[in-house]
Amino acid sequence: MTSLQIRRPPAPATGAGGRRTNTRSSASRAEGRWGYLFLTPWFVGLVVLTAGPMLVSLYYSFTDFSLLSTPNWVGLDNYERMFTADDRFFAAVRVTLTYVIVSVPLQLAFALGIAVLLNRALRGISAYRALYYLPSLLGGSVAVAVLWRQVFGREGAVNVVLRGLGWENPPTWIADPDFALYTLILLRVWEFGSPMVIFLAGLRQVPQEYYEAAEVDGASPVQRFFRITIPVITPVIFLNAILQLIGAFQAFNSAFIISGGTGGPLDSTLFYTLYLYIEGFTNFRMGYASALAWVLLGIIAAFTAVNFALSRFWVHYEDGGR
Amino acid sequence: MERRNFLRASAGIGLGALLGAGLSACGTRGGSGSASLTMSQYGSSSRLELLEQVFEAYAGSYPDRMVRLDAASVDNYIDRLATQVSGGNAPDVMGIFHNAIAQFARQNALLELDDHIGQALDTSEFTDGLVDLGRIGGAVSALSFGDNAHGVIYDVGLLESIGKSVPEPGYTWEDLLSFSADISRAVDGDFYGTEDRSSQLDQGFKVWLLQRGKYAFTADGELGFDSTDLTDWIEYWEMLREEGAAPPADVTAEAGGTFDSSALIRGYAANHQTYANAMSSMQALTESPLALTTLPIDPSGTGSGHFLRGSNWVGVFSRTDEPEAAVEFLDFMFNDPQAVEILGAELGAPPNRALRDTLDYSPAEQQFIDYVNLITDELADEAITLDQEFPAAWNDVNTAFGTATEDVRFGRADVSESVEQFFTTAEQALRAGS
Repeated sequence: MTSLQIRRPPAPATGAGGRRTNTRSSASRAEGRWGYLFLTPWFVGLVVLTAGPMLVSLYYSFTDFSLLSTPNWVGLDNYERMFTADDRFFAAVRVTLTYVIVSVPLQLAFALGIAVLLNRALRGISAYRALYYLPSLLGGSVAVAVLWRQVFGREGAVNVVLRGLGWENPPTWIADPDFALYTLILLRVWEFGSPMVIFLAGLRQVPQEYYEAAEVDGASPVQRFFRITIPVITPVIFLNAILQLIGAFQAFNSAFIISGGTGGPLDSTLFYTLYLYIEGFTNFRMGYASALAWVLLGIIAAFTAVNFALSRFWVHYEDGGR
Repeated sequence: MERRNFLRASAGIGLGALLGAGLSACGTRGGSGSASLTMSQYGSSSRLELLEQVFEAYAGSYPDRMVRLDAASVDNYIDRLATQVSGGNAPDVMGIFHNAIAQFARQNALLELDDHIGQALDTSEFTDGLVDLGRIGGAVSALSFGDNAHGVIYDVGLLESIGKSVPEPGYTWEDLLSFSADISRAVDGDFYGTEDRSSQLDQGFKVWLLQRGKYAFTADGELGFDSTDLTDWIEYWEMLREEGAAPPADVTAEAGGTFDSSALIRGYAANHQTYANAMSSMQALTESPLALTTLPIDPSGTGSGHFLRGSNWVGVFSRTDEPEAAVEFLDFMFNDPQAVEILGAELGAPPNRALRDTLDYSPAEQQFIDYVNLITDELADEAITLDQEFPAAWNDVNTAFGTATEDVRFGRADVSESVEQFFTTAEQALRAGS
């Protein structure tokens, strides 16, 4: 609230009172110039570090670039190979879609659940919030993936518990093609911190009067949650869904570490990005890897667009507008 | 001469740093002239430390030379190196995995060493045939730091605890089956008699094939074996798993490619089938004494199936500013008594045979040296070049091989299906090139 007051620029110190409008517009023009000047580092970064490499990679996707030698133009060969002659590409798409479609809703539901629990006035609540956010900071890290390998390994903590419960020969979760992907999904769900924080912010924006009114009408807590909380925070759910969707498509670390960079066993953890990495940096098919990257961009864009299109039907904005 | 004296003098008054670069760019022959080299290497910190010592010894012998270490972890070593090559700023001297040398050489990233051999680079004391292994497209593109061979490392402690001893060279595949099944039974399934490395195209399968007089790839870059060979191989390991001699699929899949994640070190199996030079690194990871033996033989086969392999390889960047100095440095690492003594068996059995026998080794290293001598001098069948060993589509064929064997192991496909799938995929990849 205080920020609103300081955001307005101070009145220009120069110029006589009579030429106020004039000075003002030239001042704002000067301000615009300064603005652009301050934007320059970011702008140079965009062109040199983002747009440039992206365009180069688009070019490479039409070549046979191998990293070690100069690229030759091959037209659409890479794209053709992808869709007609590459079983592993389809395996990677299958694995990644499963991962995204299963992990994103689970993670969001889990994050929302925790956010609701943390959205109350308890003593030391901020400590709990920080604590629950911790896995997100660690989740993508190498150390946790290594830990996951141990926990879900043959002699890991999970199996020790299961054996204790009488399951004599539980599977080696991370090394069994039926389960390996689900351990990664679990790891993803465990990284619920950042959507949780966003949910928490959203929950605190829900006007208390709504609840009070509903309580007066005799609505149960469950009803209040589904009839008030959820509808009001749909924009937040939508935002989180988009962010996590994009993030899940780009997941890499966990599969790289847990499968030892192979996507195994039997390609069951061959994330799209991992396959892209293997093609580019192990098989030195950088041109093909670039094509894979652009197809991934297309897939993510399509999913995001579909989400936006569907959002009209379920996302409600408080101000009634879109 | 006068020019050089002038430069030397100016170096003394502080211009050296600037002018030194100019001088070295001129290039000098015969071990004189200053040069600054970079060498990249992967591996343990103790290995890198030994290399640093070699660099120091080199700078001691050639005061105007220096070598800087560019160390990187094994995991991203090759992609890092390829990126450096792509940018034209690769290290002058590069340690390279054997399966990447052909790839690098075919893309002209490696200096051809032929003209230097017998000149600045003395290979006359090397084991016969070692230099030829590094030929890609006919040209020597890399050198091996040492002789190596396929072998099996056993945990002697485990075996002794159940009254068994390490199989002597000459035991058969049949023997491995019964021996391993006995072990598994004796320990009631606590661990298995042998690990299952049947998915690794570059491991025991090659020995199995050569006992049938075949190589994985022909000189023309086609598959050197047929569906019968692969079917027999897969069925053999299927039998070991059924008999409980080898672990089930998920246990095998959990073991990683590194020594410390191997089934032997993790305590799931009594052995590790690998390259023999793993011996001392593996020994460092366990209290229990280890021993090295050959892979089994095929009594109806043509030979031992074992062959001379290179261990860790080294090449020179084709676009280095210092080709002569880099080659001279290679010669120093391979032939200088001090350098060879420092490195010991760290990178393989020292290729210089005259020096190899003069060194003191740790017990584990001594076992490795004795083993390699046994293979190279008595048992070895004919070896092939890295060019033939690793065709352009190597990675694809290797992946397809892993998939075919794993499919069976996990019960996802029957043997004939997966063999057929392998040949379709592999032949397609080989036709496509890379």
